Amino acid sequence: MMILPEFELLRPRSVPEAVAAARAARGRFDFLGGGTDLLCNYKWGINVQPTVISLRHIAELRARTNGSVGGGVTLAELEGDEDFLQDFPAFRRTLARLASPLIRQTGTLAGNVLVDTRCIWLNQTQFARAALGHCLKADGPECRVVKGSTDRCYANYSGDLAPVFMVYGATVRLAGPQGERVLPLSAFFALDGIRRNVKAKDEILVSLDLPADARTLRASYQKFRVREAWDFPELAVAAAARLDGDRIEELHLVANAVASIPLWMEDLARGYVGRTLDDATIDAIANDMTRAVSPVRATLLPPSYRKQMVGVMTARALREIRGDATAA
Amino acid sequence: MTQEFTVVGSRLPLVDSWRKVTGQAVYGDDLRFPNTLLCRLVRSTVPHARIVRVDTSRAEAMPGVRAVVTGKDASARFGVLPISQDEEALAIEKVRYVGDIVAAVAADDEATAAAAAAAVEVVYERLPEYFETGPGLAPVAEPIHAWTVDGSNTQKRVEQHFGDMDAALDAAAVKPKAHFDFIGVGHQFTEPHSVTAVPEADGRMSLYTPTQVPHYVHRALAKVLEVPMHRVRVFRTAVGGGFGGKSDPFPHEMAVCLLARKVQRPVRLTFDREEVFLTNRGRHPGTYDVQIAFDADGRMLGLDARAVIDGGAFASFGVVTTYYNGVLSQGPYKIPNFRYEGARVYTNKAPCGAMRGHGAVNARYAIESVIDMAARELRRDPIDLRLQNVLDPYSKTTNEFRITSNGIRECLERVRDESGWTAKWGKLPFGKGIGVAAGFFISGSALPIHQTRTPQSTVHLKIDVDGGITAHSMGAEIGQGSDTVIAIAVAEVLGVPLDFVRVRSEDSDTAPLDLGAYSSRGCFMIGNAAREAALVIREKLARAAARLTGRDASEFAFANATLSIDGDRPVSVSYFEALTEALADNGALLAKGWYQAPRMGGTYKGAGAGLAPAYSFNACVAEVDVDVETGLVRCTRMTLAHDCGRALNRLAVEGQIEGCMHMGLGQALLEEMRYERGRITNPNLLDYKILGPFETPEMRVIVVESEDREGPFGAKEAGEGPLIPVLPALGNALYDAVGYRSHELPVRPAKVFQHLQTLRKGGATPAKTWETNGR
Repeated sequence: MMILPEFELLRPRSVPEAVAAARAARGRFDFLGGGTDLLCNYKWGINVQPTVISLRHIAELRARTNGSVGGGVTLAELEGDEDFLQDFPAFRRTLARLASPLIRQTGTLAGNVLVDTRCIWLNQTQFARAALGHCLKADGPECRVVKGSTDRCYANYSGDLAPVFMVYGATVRLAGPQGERVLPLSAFFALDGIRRNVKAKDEILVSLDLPADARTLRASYQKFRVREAWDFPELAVAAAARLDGDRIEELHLVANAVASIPLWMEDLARGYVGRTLDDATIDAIANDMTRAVSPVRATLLPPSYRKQMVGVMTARALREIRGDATAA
Repeated sequence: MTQEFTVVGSRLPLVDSWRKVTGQAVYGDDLRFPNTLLCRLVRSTVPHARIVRVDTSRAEAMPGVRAVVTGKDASARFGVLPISQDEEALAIEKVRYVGDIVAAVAADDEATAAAAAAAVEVVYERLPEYFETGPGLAPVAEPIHAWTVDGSNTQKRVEQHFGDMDAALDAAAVKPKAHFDFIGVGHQFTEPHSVTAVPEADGRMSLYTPTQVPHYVHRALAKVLEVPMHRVRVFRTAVGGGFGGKSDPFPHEMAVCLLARKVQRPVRLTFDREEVFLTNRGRHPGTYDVQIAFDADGRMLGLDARAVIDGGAFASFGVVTTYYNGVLSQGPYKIPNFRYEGARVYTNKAPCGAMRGHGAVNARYAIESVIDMAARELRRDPIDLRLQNVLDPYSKTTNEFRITSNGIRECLERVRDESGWTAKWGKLPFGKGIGVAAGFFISGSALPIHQTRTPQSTVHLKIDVDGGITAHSMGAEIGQGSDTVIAIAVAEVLGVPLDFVRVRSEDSDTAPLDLGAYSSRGCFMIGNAAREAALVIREKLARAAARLTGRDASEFAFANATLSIDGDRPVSVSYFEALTEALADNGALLAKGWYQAPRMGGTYKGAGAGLAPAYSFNACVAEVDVDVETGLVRCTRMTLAHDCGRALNRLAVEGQIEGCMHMGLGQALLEEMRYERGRITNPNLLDYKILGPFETPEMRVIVVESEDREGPFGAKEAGEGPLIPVLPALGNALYDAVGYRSHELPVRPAKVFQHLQTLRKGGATPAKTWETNGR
């Protein structure tokens, strides 16, 4: 059977207590949300730390108010929050098609946003990694996907919620030893499969906050994978727009799960503001999105195919925003 | 129906299902014996190497470690087939794949065992590695085993030729041919292997294991432990799924016994999922080339096939698989000329073996795809073309298989009528398709693996004063319902409710021999043995009733726990009255029934392969919806008719057929064991993708009952055959939908997409043509 390695489990009751515990652990720790990802990695011996700081018992992280969602809110709680889903309808299908109902009972918002990057070379047991050869992200000298890369990991970002929060214009609230800070979620991620984002190791994701005017955006998240449950995205596209009739007033796009972070396509999107959201524009945006991504062989499907599917998913997202009838 | 039954044909939950759903069933990992040690294995991390040194000293010195065994502790080789005993309990001189067991550790707890296993130092001298079958057909520098064909890695070659295939090809009006590639797939049962070895106080060794083949494990264990068979006991724990993946004696079963013997304490080992993948015995990857000749009227003139299958590192059932890839194409059609060449090649990968539909599944995909191609060339409805060529009931195939009951015609007609085929075929819009395929499978291998005259199935019955009937059998209940078959057969014959019967089928010390759950033999053979045994008891009870009433024993009918004679002088004796009389001055009623397949088949080399006392037949219609923007393929609806002779338990037959659809579609659409230089890269159930709820189609099951003359109450198999037509029906529906013929499985969405892109280069929305939709 697979055995969980030994670690010290801490259960702080407040954010300052958790930050203090993190500080004391001097970098050799992991924060634990639902554990649906971290503990699997631990069982496989991937980057196991001697201390695990559970955030499950911090009431502040489980708060949900008016567009602000605590990092510790479970995906099932969010899925059942009808007010939230009415305000931000793109989350409805995103949550319903995220992992599986069982995992959503336990998994948390912060856990999904901060989910560790995944790779066919990394997410393997200790035995398999020993047989296959270790990789840069865990115990090895170089990346196995992009051979020769010794300073950058190309593992794939696989969270589903961050791109949707991004196109809705969310900010992220972090708490650390220096206190709290707030930054746009679109500026949160950092393009490297190991570093992943700008959060300091001992900072905690307290909440994601959606601006009031996000309620008037029309958004869509189109996820592509071979099974409609359980599977992580092979690629996905999040889009949000404000339309005046069929004229684009505001447009936000994220290409997701085709790199180590969700790719914020702000310049690309801005180029289409003022245009009419007709078939030609949708095709043009889809082509631009396809050209803008360069997935690598870190997941099941061939990278060239994933690249082309980014265009298809972009078109589907934009058609949904336009109000075309879509197949679930 | 020609016969009236009381239990046979009802819809019954399996008799062991209550234990399973309430948690009472004892699976391997539920067992807790006092003083049990936990085992972890040291497995090879390299594909092919000579073992220079195994240093266990650091592991043995660790606190809590009680014993370590290596290849030095057992020299005898074993294997499921007597002709290919190539497995070792622990690798002796060489390792042959990543996952081969090199050493086993027993310790006070699992964490200590794991740490000790990691502390065993193995020094390897690497050898040339072979991952593909092609180079292995010719001599190689370092054959994986010493006993291969002419210094190659070829384990087995088969050549068969009946009639004159070249003449058939010359005479053909159409003769489509194609090449197919198949990736390996695994069984993915729920329960990982979990075994406990218990050294008994009298010096015997007991092994508790979730096995499909207790008898073969029994034989192999005696051989490896070098003790007579009566010094070994095999206890089959509840089996959490098998599908062929628990039908070999396994090295780990030997290893825990060696540890237990060494340390004289029970030793338990439970695999993690990765070890299930490494143990494998799944469906062989391979290539299949097939050409089928038809005359202008659509009559099938001949079938010419060549299979090269990738066996992985050990033989397992591979010799049988090599034959089955050819000979199981002898049905369900009349094939007057037939040529087959098959080869099984060892590679440095996890060993392949038997999996649901053993040896017939990939070949059938190829054959039914090519028949679909022929139907299009001949401009014939593919169901119509198949109907024209089916075998007749009670006939013989070209290679001398004895065909008994055969419901293929009804299967094809009913899937046609109940799927709405006529309204759909050729009439669906681009992106939607419908396809058909037929199938054929053995209902139990007629020849036992070990050539003895011991019956293949024996069932004992015991009835005492409580009236309950205990049935003993070593038939391996693996969820397929063999215990229920026994209970139904006994209850039907004796006219008692099902709950009078309790089946004991776990313990080799008490159960009479049965060869186990493989080759879809259980229902036919165990069912017949149970029925025979019950008839003996029936005779005893009838005679007792005759003594009580003065009537003739042969007149009594058995139903509702009553023995009765209708007519103008009716009498009735309760089951208990008759039993009490039968027990008087006699004691418990005992009876035995057994089954041995009759002699059959030809005398040519390999004539025994594929012989069965009966064959099952089936047909499947699949409907698909292709996402024409992405190339993703979904099966939306499936209609499958299976001729099982007679459904002893309709609910179980339907469950088996639905399971077959799910498993077959899994291989057709998603499942694959992916390798990187001999290392499995997806040994977990996230990356190895079995079908999920959203990918599972609407299922329509049709049970066809051809009433086999030799089957128990007319029954034949239903556990494996229904899988076989699922994959080609899907492939043919995909072709109908978008004109893409997948020459490999699983279907690759990226390639379907590429095909769609090519069509779109023409400009307008693609439309179906004669080529793509047969109209």
